[in-house]
Amino acid sequence: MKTIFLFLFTMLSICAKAQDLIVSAGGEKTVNGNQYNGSLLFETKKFWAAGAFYQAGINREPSEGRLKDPFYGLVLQAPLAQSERILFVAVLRTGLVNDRFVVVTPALETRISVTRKAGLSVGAGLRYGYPSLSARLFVKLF
Amino acid sequence: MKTTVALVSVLLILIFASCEEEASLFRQFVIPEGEHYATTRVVQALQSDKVSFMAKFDASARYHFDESGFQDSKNKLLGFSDCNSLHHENSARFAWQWYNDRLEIYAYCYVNSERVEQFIGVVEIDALNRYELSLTENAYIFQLNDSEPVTIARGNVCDSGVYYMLWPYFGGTLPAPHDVTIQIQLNN
Repeated sequence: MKTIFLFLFTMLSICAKAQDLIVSAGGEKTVNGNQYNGSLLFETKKFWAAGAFYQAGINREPSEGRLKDPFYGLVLQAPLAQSERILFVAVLRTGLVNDRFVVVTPALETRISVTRKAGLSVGAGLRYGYPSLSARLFVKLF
Repeated sequence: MKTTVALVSVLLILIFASCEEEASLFRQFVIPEGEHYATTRVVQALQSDKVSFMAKFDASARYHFDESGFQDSKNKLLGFSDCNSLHHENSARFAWQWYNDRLEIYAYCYVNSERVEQFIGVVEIDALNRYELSLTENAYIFQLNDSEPVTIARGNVCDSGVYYMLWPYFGGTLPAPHDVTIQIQLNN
């Protein structure tokens, strides 16, 4: 409970100080196939960020339901290093898979700003106990 | 910058659209002599209501204790602890033992802190076998290859929460008498 409280408190502080609202969409290649995701992040001037995400794969067999392993929850971003156009961050996603299983996934991402408001992000993380690769496009809304 | 973006885009297309044959996902677990826990140590949460995996034991699964009373101690293969429970409270695992000169597979559960064991079948050394452990609202269902499923009633636990995976462990009371090697591949 203490951990959840601390996590939520950190997120609230970040949201209160947020300078940018970032929307992103992309995919993650996991050991269980490709998954597609979207997220909404509040980011501070110092690149700390918090927000929400949704991710799922697509089942080939319609009998198993359209979405495979839907995963949604909260995301926290911590800056590690930065230059003018490139930002290196650690990302922690915490949420529910299949509406039931609590999962925490760490990742390292490199964000490349193509314009002042948009860019792409590539990263490596850990899903299902194996390494995963991800790529996303992002847009800063304000 | 445009070149960088173009290069990264091409790389991403290759990553997500590649048709390369997938690498083998077998993990080798070795329980060293005198130890209970296997290396590699893996921390992983359960993410669906079915754990399906292939496993293979080699000749190191044969062992004999001087004190025969320990020979029927169950060694754990793989499973999970139930919702927000410790594994001695509510959990379900496949277990194994070398007994009567054969490798026996068991369902091994803790249900509201009570241990429940049930024989499932026998497997051969060096043979690859399929194991499935399903979680339903009221039960754990174990199946080895195409054998008759074994059902064990589930305890009073929550529905949404942390379910952590449990990996190979030797014992019981006594540690591994020699290095024991098990190959496991999770199918999802």
